[in-house]
Amino acid sequence: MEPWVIATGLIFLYLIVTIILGAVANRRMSVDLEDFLLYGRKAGFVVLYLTVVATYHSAFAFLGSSGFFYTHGIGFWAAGAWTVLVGAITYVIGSRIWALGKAFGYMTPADLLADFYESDAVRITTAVVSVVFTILYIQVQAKGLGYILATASGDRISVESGTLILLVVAAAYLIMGGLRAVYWTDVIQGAWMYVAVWAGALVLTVKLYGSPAGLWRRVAAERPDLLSLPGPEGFFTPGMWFGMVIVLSFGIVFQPHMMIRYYTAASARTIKWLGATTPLYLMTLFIPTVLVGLGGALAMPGLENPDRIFPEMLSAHAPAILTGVILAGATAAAMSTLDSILHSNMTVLTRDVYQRYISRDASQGHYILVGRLIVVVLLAIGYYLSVANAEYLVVLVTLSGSGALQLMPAILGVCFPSRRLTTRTGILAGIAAGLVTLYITLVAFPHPLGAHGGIWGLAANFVVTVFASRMSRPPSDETVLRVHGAVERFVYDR
Amino acid sequence: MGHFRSHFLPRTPTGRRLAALFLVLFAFTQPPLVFWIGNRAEPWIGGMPFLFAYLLALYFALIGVLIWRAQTEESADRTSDRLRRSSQRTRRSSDRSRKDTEP
Repeated sequence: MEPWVIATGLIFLYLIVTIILGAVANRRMSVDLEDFLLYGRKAGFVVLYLTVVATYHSAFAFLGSSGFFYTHGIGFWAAGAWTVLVGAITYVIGSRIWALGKAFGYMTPADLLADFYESDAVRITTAVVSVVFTILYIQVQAKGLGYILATASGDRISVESGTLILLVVAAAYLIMGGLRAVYWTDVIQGAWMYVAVWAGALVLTVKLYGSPAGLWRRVAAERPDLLSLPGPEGFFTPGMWFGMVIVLSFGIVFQPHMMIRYYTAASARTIKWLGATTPLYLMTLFIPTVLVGLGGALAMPGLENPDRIFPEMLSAHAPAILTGVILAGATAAAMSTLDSILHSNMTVLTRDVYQRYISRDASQGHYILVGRLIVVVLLAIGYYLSVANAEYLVVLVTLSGSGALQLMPAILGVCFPSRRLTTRTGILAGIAAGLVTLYITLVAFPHPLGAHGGIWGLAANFVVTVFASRMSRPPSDETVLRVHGAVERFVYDR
Repeated sequence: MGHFRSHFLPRTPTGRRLAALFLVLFAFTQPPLVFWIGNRAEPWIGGMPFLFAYLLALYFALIGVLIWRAQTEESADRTSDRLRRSSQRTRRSSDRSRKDTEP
């Protein structure tokens, strides 16, 4: 059998499994919005663990990180720091978000913020930031999926057709089974991608260099510039290192598809152990990608698109079946992020826009139907964005990673009781200042003084939030006592 | 003006110790310390260049702190559950004995 048939066949086998899981999830689902959108708030440790790690790690972790190591060397090992920080954020902030969600029935990030700040403007701003800055990830993941299928099939399936096929499959199981289907498929995807990336990296390393130690020695002898900071192209300056750590930890955790996962935990214990242990998976996934990236820099120098180093190395040096398994793992990595973003955008649009402003008192079944229709619309938008290649998209994608980070002062104001309160005027002004600064420091004059643009945006946001909060009216005593009281009881009353 | 003491600083001694330990270890993974201490290939540790091994050890230590925190909190929860149950039992048995002795 030809290698491309095996590789493509394995990916399609994987897609069939996800569709079957979606159908089974559909049979288990009740006509209840909380069940459809939040898995009934009863996700146990194993399911939540694998869905969080699979959602956090996208096609970028699988393909892009190898490309980063290939180009910039060991500096990308800073990735370990932001994944550890994700665990700490989940432990400290995620558990408070869970407690508030359980106490007051929140389903979206906007529910949390609009309730405390007593403002529809806050709800709309949060919903817009949530959707605009994550909808672009649909395009990134969808395009990644198209490339994977095109690579696996030896370009017999075009990137556009591959994108469409995989988008339709993700939307199909989401429509059928809601978040339950997403979680179940994420369990497979999370396990598959971890095994695949380790297996692929070890096979390639042993075959080409004898062992990981042999690879390190060869890199030190032939490309010592890859083993020091700031790297061959001077990318990993102190400002960039620190900026990436903050943006890719807080910035990802505050995106709706991650925050909504916190609401779904079955208990506080589940979410705290999730925070304590997720970095084990998230951080160690970068160990094999170091081997692939640095090994690739020696074996295949001068690659035009460094993100394709993993598939290229596999095609050249690994057996066809392993290549198929690993490319199916890459598909899993991208799909697990894609389905979660589709789901979170559906949840935000159904809950924060449709249920709140268009049809307040409809039945649960009606909202589920609307949610499913929204997925179809998002599918069409995602496909259009991924094939459009418009120039403005490049700008928006550049902004998207740091966009959700601008919700940080507002979220801290809710989750951390304090003598000094943040106000709705403060956080709205802060978000506006943060986004304007972000545009300037990421697009107009990228990364001034060698510091990541996201950090400049966040700094401006914090300064304006604090200053404007001092001069404006805080939330009512009743709301502060209710919300901060719930946090106080959750953290300190045992 | 808020109604509660700040949550930005841990209130318990264990919480303060663990937060300080996490922050100190984390500082060693960040500039300028990582550039001053870690930015070299030698000495090699376990077949890995120093920078890689240095960060790997710190990352595992940080995860260890998080797991330690989860364990201490869980055992505190268990202790307080036990205390709550035992005080409920004591209250029930004293209520019963009061009823028994009532004329």
